Amino acid sequence: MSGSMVLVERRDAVTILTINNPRQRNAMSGPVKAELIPAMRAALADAGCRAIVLTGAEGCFSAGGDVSRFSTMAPEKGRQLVRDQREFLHLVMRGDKAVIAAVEGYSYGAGFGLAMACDHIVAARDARFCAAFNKIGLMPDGGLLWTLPQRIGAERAREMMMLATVVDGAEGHRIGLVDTLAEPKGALDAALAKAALFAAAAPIAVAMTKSAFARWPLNLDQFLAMEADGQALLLSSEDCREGARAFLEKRAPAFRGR
Amino acid sequence: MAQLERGTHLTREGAIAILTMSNPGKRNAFSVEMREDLTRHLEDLQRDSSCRAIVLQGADGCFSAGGDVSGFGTKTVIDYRAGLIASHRFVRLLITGEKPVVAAVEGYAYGAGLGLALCCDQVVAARDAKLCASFAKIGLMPDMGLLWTLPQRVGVGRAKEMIMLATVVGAEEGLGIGLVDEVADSGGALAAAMALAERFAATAPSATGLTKAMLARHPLGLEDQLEWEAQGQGLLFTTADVAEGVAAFRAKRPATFKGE
Repeated sequence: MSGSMVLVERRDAVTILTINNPRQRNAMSGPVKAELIPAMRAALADAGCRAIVLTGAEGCFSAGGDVSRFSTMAPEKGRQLVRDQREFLHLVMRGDKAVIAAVEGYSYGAGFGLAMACDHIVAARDARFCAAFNKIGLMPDGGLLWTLPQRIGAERAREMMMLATVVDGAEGHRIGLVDTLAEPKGALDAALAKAALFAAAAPIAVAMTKSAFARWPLNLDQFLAMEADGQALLLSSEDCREGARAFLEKRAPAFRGR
Repeated sequence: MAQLERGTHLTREGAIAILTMSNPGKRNAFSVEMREDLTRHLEDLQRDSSCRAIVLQGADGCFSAGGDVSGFGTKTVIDYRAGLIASHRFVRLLITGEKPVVAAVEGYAYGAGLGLALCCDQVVAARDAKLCASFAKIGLMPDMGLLWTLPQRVGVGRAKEMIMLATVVGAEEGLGIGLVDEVADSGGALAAAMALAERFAATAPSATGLTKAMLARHPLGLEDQLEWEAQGQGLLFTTADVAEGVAAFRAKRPATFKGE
């Protein structure tokens, strides 16, 4: 099932979604989003898929929005553009499966927002991240005002967003922007290795953990209420019995999401 | 030293209360006795003005290896839920209580054990200690408030990896990412935690207590934060401790705070 703008591939329990619009450095254009949204929905609905890798074709994650259209866009069109973006981000952040970004080349603007929405970010040492928005007079979108401060703290987020500072993979790893560092051209392989670990984790526990993170900000009482409800269910799940047995038998557990 | 029986034991050294969790032969796996004792001691200590700081540790060189796996998958949903809610009493006492708490971590702080350590204000870990949100290994989500405490310490990216993949973090690495506040020599976590607790015990109790109360309300919007700050600071300005602090500052001597 491969459209022209988004390539879909299943490898074991991992689905790879590749943005395939290299002429525009994989910008998040209308046609890209039109294929990306149903592809992500399908991966989330696929019972055999337990983790999703999001990447860009030909060594570039995504250079942002389709700048060629920005200056001529009517306000209602611009709002629709950002709403489409939001629909995809909801799927990434509120979906039940771990999403891993494999970043080579540029992750700029909307493409930066896309990477930051993922649960785990694998980047090549020479990949480049930039909240490029205010270079062309825009504010950050793609959820960055929510995601970025949570990852790197308010001060660094402010600098990246107000000055459009470029951060490479190596520095990103140091400041918590990047979770796993790969050699140049090695991001996808490293992401697939990491995705296999996420795919082996217990699906309900992953889903509940993701759901908790997606509800931020919550106060302590709200977290504790959610924890009591969720953990009580999980403690009675088949997966927990299997996990406890595997622990006592000193073997790796086989979780089935039940 | 004779082996401590199952539960949480309170000892005192001056203004510092030491709480020692014990579950012999099970690496201090979490138990009902441990929970009930911990809650009772923490409640008593909140009311005890002679206690100015608390150190939490595990007996026999191990903080706590987490929940007792042998009890998992054997009870009903509602029983588990009641157990979790019962645990939240001491989680709240540690986080929202007024006494500063220092965790002294030797050996393992896994699962609920890591959750407990992160409920403390400061975490001192021995160089060879190992920390792990091990819940995912047995198909569980984090508990003991870990979803609230961990991202605040290490950021969302690292928190998700530690939680979903149950990554083991050593003390030095933990120091680098903000999971641990101080690294001690192997076997030296308690001594280092006591030294740190002494410093907390010398601070003005009301100021420290109100600071804890504010941090426990995270996340707050700016307006709420500024409002609470005005209320709290307004009260503190009227205390004898602030008068003593100002006098000591002028006389260039250390202040002696009494919590008055």
